[in-house]
Parts: sequence; C-alpha cells; structure tokens
Amino acid sequence: MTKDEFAKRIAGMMQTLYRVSYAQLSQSCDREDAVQECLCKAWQKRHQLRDERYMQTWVIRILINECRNIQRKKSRLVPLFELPEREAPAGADRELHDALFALDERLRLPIVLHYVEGFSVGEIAAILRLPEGTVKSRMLRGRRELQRQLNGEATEPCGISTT
Amino acid sequence: MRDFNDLRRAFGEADEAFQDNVFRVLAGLRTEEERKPMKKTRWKLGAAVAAAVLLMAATAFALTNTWGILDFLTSRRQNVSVLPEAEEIVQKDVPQQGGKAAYATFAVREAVYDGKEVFIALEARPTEEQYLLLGPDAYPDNPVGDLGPLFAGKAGTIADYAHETGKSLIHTFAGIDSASCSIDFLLEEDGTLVYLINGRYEAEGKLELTVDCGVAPFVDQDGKMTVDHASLQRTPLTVSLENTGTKRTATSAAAADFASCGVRVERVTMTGSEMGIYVTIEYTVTDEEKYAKTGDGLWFEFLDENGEILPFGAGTAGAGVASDGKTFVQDITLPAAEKLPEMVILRAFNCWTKERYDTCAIDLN
Repeated sequence: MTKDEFAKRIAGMMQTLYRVSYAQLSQSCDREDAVQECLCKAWQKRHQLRDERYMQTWVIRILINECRNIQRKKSRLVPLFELPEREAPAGADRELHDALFALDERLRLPIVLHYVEGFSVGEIAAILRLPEGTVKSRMLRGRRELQRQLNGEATEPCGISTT
Repeated sequence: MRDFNDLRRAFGEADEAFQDNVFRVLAGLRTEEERKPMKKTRWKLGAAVAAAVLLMAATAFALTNTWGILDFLTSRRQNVSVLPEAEEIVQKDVPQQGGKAAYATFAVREAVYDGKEVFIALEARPTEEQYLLLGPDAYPDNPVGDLGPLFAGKAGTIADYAHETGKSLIHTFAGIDSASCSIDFLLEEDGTLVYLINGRYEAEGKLELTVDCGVAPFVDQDGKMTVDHASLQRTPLTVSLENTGTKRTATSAAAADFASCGVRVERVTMTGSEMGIYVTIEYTVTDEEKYAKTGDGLWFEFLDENGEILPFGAGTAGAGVASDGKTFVQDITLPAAEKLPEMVILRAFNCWTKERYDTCAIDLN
C-alpha cells in the first residue's frame, strides 16, 4: 500500500475515527493524541495487514487500544468523578448524546460500533477481542439502558446481525 | 426512543482541529526508506500531566525571559522533578540545519538526550512582525489565554487579539519523526512561539533526528478562519544531539505473581538519569480467565512506603506488547532520584473499575 493509498483510505474514515475516539475520550487533545498514535502505528505495521478489505476493522482496533492506553494513564492522574462532563458537540442531538454517554463505556462502544459504524457482531468481537456472546449481551444491556435513559420505547430496526 | 440508527446524530462532525491533526499526521508519514534507523519506543504521556511539586529552581527563564526545557518542566507541568544536575546536561548550542519557512523560522533552542528520552525546546520566530504564530491545536476561536502565561486572565479570543493588534494568524506544527512525542507551546513577548517536545527514543551514541516543522496561514472561509492546507509548507529541521547517557540500571531479582488478576510480572527494569527514572514492567498472563475479567484494564502503579501512589516523572509513558506477542510491556517514568531504589512496591489495578488487585514488594539488583 502506498502512502497516498493509505492516506486516501484514512481520509475516508475521518468521521469514524472521530466518533470512535469520541466514544472513549472526552478531551479533544486526547482524541487527537490517540488518532495520531493509531495512524502512525497502522502505517508502520501496514505490512501485517493481510487483506486490505479489513483495513477499517484493523485501524479501529488499533485506535481503541490507543484510547485505552490514554484512559489508563488518565485514570491514574484524575479520579473519574473529577472529569468534566461532556457537552454535546456542535451539530449533535443533545438528548441522544447525553443518553449515549450516560452508558458505561463497555456498553456504549459495541452500540456505537454496530449502530453508528455498521460493524457486525463478529467484527465487533474481533475489534474488542471479546466473545460474540459477550458483545451481544453488552449490546442488549446497552439498548435497554438507552431506552431507560430516553424514557421511551425503542424500535430495533435491524436486530443484531451475526455475520 | 427513536430508531437506534439515529444514534449517529449523538455525535457532531469531526471538528477542524481533529481533521487538521489527521491530515498533518498523514502528510508526515514516511516510508522505511525515508526513515533513519533508530529504535523508537511506543507512546507519549501527553502534554498535560497534572499533579503537584517540582525541585528545579533558577533556570534560563529567570535570567533571559525566554523559555527553556527546565522552565517548561518547572512551570508548565506539575509534580515533575529532575535532579539539579539536569541543568548541566542541557545542550544549548545544538548543530542543526533547515527549519526555514515562509512565515516562520524554526530552530532548536535547547535539547537534552540521555539515551532514553529526548527533550527539545524549539523556537519558531515569525519572519514578519505581523504574523501571530499559533501552535498545532490552537485555533482562532480559542480563548486568548491559550497563547501562554503572558495572556493569562485576558478576555476574548485569539481572533479578537489578532484583530486588535492587526496580526495575521499562522498555524504552525512541530514534532519528532511525526509521532510519539509530547508537545507543549507558548508565545513569548517578542512573538516567538516556543515548543517543548519530548519523546522516548533509544539509540547508541549521538542522536541524529529530524524535527518536522511546518506552517500554513489561516484564511477566511465563509466567515470562518480555517487553516489553508493548500498553502501548508513543511520544513524539516535536522539536529544532532549529544547522548549524555543514563547513570544507573537496576533489574528485579525475581518474578512476582499478581494472582488475583492472573498475571506475573517477569521483570521490572529501572534506569536512572538526571531527568527521571525510566521504568519498564514486563508481565505475562498466568490465568487467562482472571486476566480476561480485567477487561483489558490492567495497569500498574508504584507506591511509596506509606502506600501513596508515586507521581510520574518528566518523561513519557506507554503500553504495548513485546515482539514475542505474549509479554505485555508497560513503560512509565518516575521522578528523578540520586539513587535507584533497592526495592519497589508495585500494585496492579483496573483502570475501568478502580479495583485494586495484589500489591507486591519487588527487590531490585
């Protein structure tokens, strides 16, 4: 993969990189750090990607790892209860935003990866290195919690694909 | 609730700073042929390590009103301590080449390289008085106080300040080898933008490296000031740094089991220099089930004899997997000390749940 091809693929993933990092990190500087590390590692290890069709899954896996590294270090420095609350970014639906970010991250991330980014349960299991059953269970709990947060009925338009 | 597919609307669009950052990283990627051979370790801690005290005192800032490496560590980071001898290993006359661009000239003001971590105070001077240089994540609508301590307490945005003073905004960026560095910056009184850049590098002998620098003007696009990427100009600055070396190394005498989280710390290695104690913790999984329950949230912290968590040092930190694919590695930097400890107290904890696992005292040789 040439540098231009890599850059083109990454530029096409811009919003996904943003949303996945946003789902895990509340500070913009941390998100930028995580994405920077992710892209540099993905570029350096690009030869390890056997099939370029899976590049997005692979890059997201790296990004999630980088976000976790930052969370770990931050968790040592700032007790979670002292972190400022997230404010919905410009253009976001505040109600949805607040409900989604009221979820525990372990429930939120599979929901975001499936319903927002379109990954299948199998892909999410690979990205998060979790058994598919765990992913399904977290998605179920996440959906229920979201319904509770939003205090209304949920429609489940597509169920959970297991492909 | 509305359709779950509505959830995309819970996020806004990637903001300008985020997109700029991605494009900058992509523009800075290098192929192996372009990259100089050097072992580079993972990670940075990030510019904003927060906490408490510091040991350094009289530095260049007090005398010249310009910021050097130790000034940044003293005044911009907290709880970071280096040895007084650190001042002696600061290189002030650094051989360098390049760094000239349309709107700014970049030059290394000071550097420290101890064989483990590189610290660089980099200055960007505007080529014309009318240019107001901004750091990589400073934007016109940010508070003017973000420009640095000289602007603390002032009201308004950077754009307001530029308008009042008749300055043109110029975006700048700088980094070591495009990645893995921690960056801080501030504006001095004469309009010089000073960066502190640091990152973990391990090399034998002198360190030859390239500092990637660049500039681009801000332009008015539909009433909003944005970076003009089409005019972005990169200007690599090649520098040669003396390796002042580390002073001491100690390694754990034996492995230590952390049974409740299913891992064994195989080795703890500590290397001391004037700038900090660089620590590498290597561990393997002994109980897959218990380890899985940590949810990928296992982390180690050092405690003092009173059970208090030791703060980070001036250097960077990170985590990864060794080349064998089985050994997990955590790197951190602890505050500098005259002597390495003969024993450390290591505690495992879960960064998600805050659950504390085992605590082990580990002897060092």
